[in-house]
Amino acid sequence: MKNYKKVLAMILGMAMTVSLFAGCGNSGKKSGESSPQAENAPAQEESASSGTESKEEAPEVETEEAEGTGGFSGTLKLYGPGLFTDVGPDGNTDIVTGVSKPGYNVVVDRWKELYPDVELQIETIPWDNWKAACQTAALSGDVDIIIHGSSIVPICEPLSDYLEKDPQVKDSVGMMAMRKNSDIAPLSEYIPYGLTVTVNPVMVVVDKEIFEHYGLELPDSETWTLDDVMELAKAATGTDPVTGKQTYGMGMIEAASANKNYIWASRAFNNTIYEWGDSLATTNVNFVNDTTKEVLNYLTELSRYASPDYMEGLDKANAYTEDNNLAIMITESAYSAYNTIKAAGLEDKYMFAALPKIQGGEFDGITSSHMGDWNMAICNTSSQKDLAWEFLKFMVMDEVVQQWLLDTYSIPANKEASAKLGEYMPDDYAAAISYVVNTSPLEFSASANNCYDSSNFGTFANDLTTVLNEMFQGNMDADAAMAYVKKNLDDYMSTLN
Amino acid sequence: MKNRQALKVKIKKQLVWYSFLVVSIVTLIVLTYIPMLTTIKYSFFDVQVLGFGEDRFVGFQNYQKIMNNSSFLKSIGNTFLLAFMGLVSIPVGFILASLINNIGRGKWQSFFRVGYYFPNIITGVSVVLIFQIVLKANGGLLNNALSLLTGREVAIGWLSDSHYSRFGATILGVWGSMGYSMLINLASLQSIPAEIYEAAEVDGANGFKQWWYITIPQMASCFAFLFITSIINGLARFSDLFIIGGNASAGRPGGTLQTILMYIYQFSFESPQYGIASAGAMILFVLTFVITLVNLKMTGFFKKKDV
Repeated sequence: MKNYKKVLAMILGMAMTVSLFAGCGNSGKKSGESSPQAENAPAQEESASSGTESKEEAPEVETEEAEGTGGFSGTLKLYGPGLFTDVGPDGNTDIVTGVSKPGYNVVVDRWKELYPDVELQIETIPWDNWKAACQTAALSGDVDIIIHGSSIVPICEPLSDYLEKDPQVKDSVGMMAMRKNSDIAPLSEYIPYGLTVTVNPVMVVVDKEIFEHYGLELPDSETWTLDDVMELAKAATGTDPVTGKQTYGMGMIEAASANKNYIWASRAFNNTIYEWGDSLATTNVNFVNDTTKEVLNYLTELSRYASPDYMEGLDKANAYTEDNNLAIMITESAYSAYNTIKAAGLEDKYMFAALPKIQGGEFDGITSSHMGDWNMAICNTSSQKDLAWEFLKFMVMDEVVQQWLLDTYSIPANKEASAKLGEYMPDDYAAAISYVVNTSPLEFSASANNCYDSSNFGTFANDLTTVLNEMFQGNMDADAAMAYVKKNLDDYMSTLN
Repeated sequence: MKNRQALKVKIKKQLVWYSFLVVSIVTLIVLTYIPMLTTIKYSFFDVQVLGFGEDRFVGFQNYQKIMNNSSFLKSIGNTFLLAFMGLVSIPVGFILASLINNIGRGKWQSFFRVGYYFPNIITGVSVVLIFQIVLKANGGLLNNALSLLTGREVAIGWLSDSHYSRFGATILGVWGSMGYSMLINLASLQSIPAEIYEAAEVDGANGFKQWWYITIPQMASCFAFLFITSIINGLARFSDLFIIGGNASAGRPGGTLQTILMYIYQFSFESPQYGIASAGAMILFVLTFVITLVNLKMTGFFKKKDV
């Protein structure tokens, strides 16, 4: 009894130390190693069918091995940012728009119906530092699916083989999360690293009232050109002839992500800068050329018709409201913009359009509006890759999930589901979105294409933002901007040798 | 026999103390020293994403590459420039402390002491969001005040124009840290014995002379302490500048706010090249270590104390 406290202190100390070590332990397997489950995969896959089909076979009561679900059992761990984080397990209501969205428990419940022996563990994170968080999670070896992880190629499993086995998946979606990886294929080829669940097309929001006040013709996605965009932005900048308020012609994608303006503009100008080799080291980047200069100058010229609050990201404070003062706005969150418009009862005041068509090259004649996405990728340290693939398929093909996506005001990548968009918004909006979704090539990636690649060339995206901001402020000309980006590109390329 | 028993008791006693220490020591080793040593190792390897792919030994190549990289050299310059500009918080804190001290002890002193310290407890994100409005080019609070003072329209992008962004970031940083500086200065001011001032007054020293010959020398150790902590905090500056840059590590605008830590972050997570990032981290460690040594030397840490 005399030494009771001392002994207790020692035990507690030891317990803490042991638990600390336990927490740091890593039972995960190295990339490339497969689990016994994975080794048995072919046999399982033969019996596995798509999620929708297997529903009928799912038994009402739990059995030791769920028939009709490929015999899968265990716990599937998902980690990452995006829609699951936004809606939470039980759903939420936006305080601005009043829009209610159902939570991801709808997905979990549906999954339980189909795969009663597989538990889903979803760990959601915010967008802040998400790449760092996902890498750390993957390193722990305790994650099966990285939500929105396809751009972090080193931690993801290529999906080519899975897609070959299940060709219906590729046919059912309008977009795939494509990247390039010289370890697997020549860099001229795209490799699917994730399945796109929802798409975010870059759309133009037009304030029809401002156009009307200035006597301007409304743009037509099919026919307007880059020169038209410039002319309209210029014409709509000034004092509104009807209201007497100051208006600005252009609201570009925010200055902090100015590189994203470069994505669409470089595509529109068809400024292909890469001569792909078998590896990055043998790839040439011809960034310094006349077309790049043209693109940079075009965007700088366009920024002259933006609000003076643009550089601080405060120009769209009144966007999509009655007090809007921007005639044309380029947005990456089209559905969210529409919800705000709808909530304000201003559906007649605005409309959507696609960006002008690409001038020449591989994608000649299609819109330069690219699509962002929310995707899911299989973590290459997962020991249940086949089960993870089942979940990915389920997310892009299951009818209940597609309905849930539509109910959360998202645009499903599933073509059949996205065709229902017209039931959710007027034609002035839905038609333009459908136009972009339907014309965007399946094997096009906004992050890694022939005009722009933020995945493989070091600080390229950040450098573009830096120089565009400097040009918008009048602190740099196009030649200096190209030299700055080229210097960093050369530095990066030198690290590859 | 007696000695053995005494030794037994001693060991028993020490075992108890060591059981308390073991948690801290293990934590320190596992979470600090092992990662530090791993970072040293990785700085000599070609590693892209940590834990994935094959690591190739490249010797000092990462150091060579990083030292020839203009962005890294610029980030070193930015870090030191911002750290030294941030030292403004010391005189500002001292002035505030002097004013508050002159009020005399009482509720008003407490009020101002708490009031000026308040910014220090507001989270960095909120401070940046507020200052993005205060320092904006078009109708920002600071520009409006300057317009009023100068009689002509001032539209400086304090956080969006690369010519002024370091000043804007310094205003923001000083606002956040002046409360702490004030508090340390005030404590030091109040610890100066009143007898010294009384003796000086008897000798005919006026207010300025008292301030110059008594207050300032007595505050020397306080200034040295604030200098060391401000510089070290300045070298580790990250969050506010990261948010100003739109949650990116490029040091927007124009790379003028990219510190060494942001550069390291960029190559750790945004464009993963962990070998390069580790080399950057080691260089930052050496810089911080050297500065700390100089500071300790300046403040007499290594002087032998008279027994």
